[in-house]
Amino acid sequence: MKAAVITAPGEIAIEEVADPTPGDNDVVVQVAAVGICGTDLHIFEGEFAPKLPIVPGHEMSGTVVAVGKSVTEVKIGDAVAIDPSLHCGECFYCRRARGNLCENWNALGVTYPGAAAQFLLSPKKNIHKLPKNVDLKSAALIEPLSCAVRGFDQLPRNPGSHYLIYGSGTMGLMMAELAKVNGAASVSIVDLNQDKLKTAKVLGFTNLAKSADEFDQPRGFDVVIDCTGVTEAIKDGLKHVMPGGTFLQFGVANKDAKVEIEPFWVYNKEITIVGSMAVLHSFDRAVELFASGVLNADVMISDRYSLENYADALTAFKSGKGRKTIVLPNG
Amino acid sequence: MKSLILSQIDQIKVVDLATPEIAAGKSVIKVLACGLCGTDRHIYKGEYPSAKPVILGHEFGGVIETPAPGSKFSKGDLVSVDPNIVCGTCEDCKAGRTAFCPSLTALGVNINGGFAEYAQVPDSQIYKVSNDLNPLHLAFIEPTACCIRGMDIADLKGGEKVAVLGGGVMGQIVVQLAKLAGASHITMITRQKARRELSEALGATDSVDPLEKNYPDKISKYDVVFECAGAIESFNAAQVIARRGGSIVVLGLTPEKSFVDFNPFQLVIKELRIQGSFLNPLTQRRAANLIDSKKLKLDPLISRVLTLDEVPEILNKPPADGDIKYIVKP
Repeated sequence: MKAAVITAPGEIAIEEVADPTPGDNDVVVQVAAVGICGTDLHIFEGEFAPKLPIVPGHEMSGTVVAVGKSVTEVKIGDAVAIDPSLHCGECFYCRRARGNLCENWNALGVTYPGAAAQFLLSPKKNIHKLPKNVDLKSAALIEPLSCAVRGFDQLPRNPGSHYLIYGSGTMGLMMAELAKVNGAASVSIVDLNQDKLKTAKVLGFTNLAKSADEFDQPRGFDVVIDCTGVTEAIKDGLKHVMPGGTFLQFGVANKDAKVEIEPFWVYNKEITIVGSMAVLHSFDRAVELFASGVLNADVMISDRYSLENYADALTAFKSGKGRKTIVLPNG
Repeated sequence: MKSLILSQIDQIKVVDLATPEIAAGKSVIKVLACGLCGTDRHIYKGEYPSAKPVILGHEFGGVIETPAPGSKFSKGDLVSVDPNIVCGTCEDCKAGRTAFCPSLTALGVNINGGFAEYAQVPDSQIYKVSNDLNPLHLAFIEPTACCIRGMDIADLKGGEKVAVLGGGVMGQIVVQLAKLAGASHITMITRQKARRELSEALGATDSVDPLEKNYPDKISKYDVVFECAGAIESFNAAQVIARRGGSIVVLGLTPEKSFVDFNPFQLVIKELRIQGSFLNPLTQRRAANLIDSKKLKLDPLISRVLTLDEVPEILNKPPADGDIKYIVKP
């Protein structure tokens, strides 16, 4: 089969590799769509260095084409999405149901071959069957959505809350849609880029601004979510948390980023500051939410590439202009 | 009656004032105990806003001397006082965020408090306890209520490991509350040896001197870290000793306008949760019940019992090493 292989930092090639064969508990999936995410770019640029060579791609959907002897949960022809997380199941955190903090963490497309290929080998426990109405070529959005659902799991469940979101890119818009289905009283989105705010408008959001100071919310917001990882945005976001409110750090900041806070304010205003890491028991709910139409895939996916042009897809993603970039390895 | 009056910053003295009288919905209490709190020192030095002149003292209780007309309390009832008075009708109060009521006033801060022989107190702030309770323990109900708020926020689960930073009265109460809540391991982290030893007598499994060289990087990791020291170094250390997926509850009052850095990358990778806990919203009843049940060891926390006349001198110097709580018996 054909696969995109990162051979060294900055080098990617389309290579002919052996077709995967399933072990007893494995499933082989013909990949319909694979999304590109910051992690793929970090691996490509050598900032996040698993063992190379590696086939990237951890946001994926497809059709089951082969199953191992012990697989009864899915059958050939089933439409599926795949949770890329390979938690060890044995370490301290896994045994506390916090596998996203696994001490021996692995993932398809990061440390094991991913979906930037015609076929993907996956353990059966990572496979999620999709309802019939789901468009397979858009279903690569389910994985980032499952990260957003994990983020929401870190928040208080209070319908009628006011949400403020930094970043009107793919993740910011997913968070905004989740806020809506979680009963938000209002959803406000900040982005410095006017074009990105226009996309939010297409999706029906109306509280859009370059600066959160423009919103009429004198008490602050119940929930502020940073989807940018940018220090200035985080600092500004903290200023807009209502007393008793919660700030969620969702965007991944630079490793050595520092943001100043005043402990007196955390105490005196009972602020909660919390992080959210990847996917945790949230993939099946992301499938349900996606199938229910929570995301407008036509808007969320801005660019589509063939496998041959995977390198171009990475470049397009890096430009930061669009929203989700998808590669379709089987056309 | 004898009263301790703050007339302006740095100006405090005992004067003779008219004994307060009952009013509609307000009973008069004979004060039996009033704790001296760090906040009183901050107010005295002008670091925390208050009315002036005012009778300080917000951790107090006593016996009902004269009940308000139609009061549910009777003369002789032993009672504790929640000093924080909220309006109950603003948006914050109605949403259950009473600590943020814009009209919040406090006995002993904005209106006359417990450093006097008698105090006029709204019935809404009065909580009855058993008549056989040691009256000195009444002074612990308000700080315990603040600690219970912190416990509510921490959502501590049985079998979890807890670190308590700061060995003052809040830290020593939190150690005991964590034990009652089923923590499997409780570590007290504080500089004073006497406070570390006291915490171990009260239920801490072990204790650590934050000045030792392995601290904080090399010590083990905790599910819940209570910051009760109110110090910047302590806040920073909390981020190191909280384990992945752990919580930090900020109960300590650090000075305003002092800042720390947090690392938003680590916050994501470790899924940390940093939470503030402010005052005692709706926890005074549970604190009174808990102290009434005699499950907390409070006598070892009482360092000195003072008369009103001794307070001005005490306020002029920092608490002596090893001292935890001064209680005034007006």
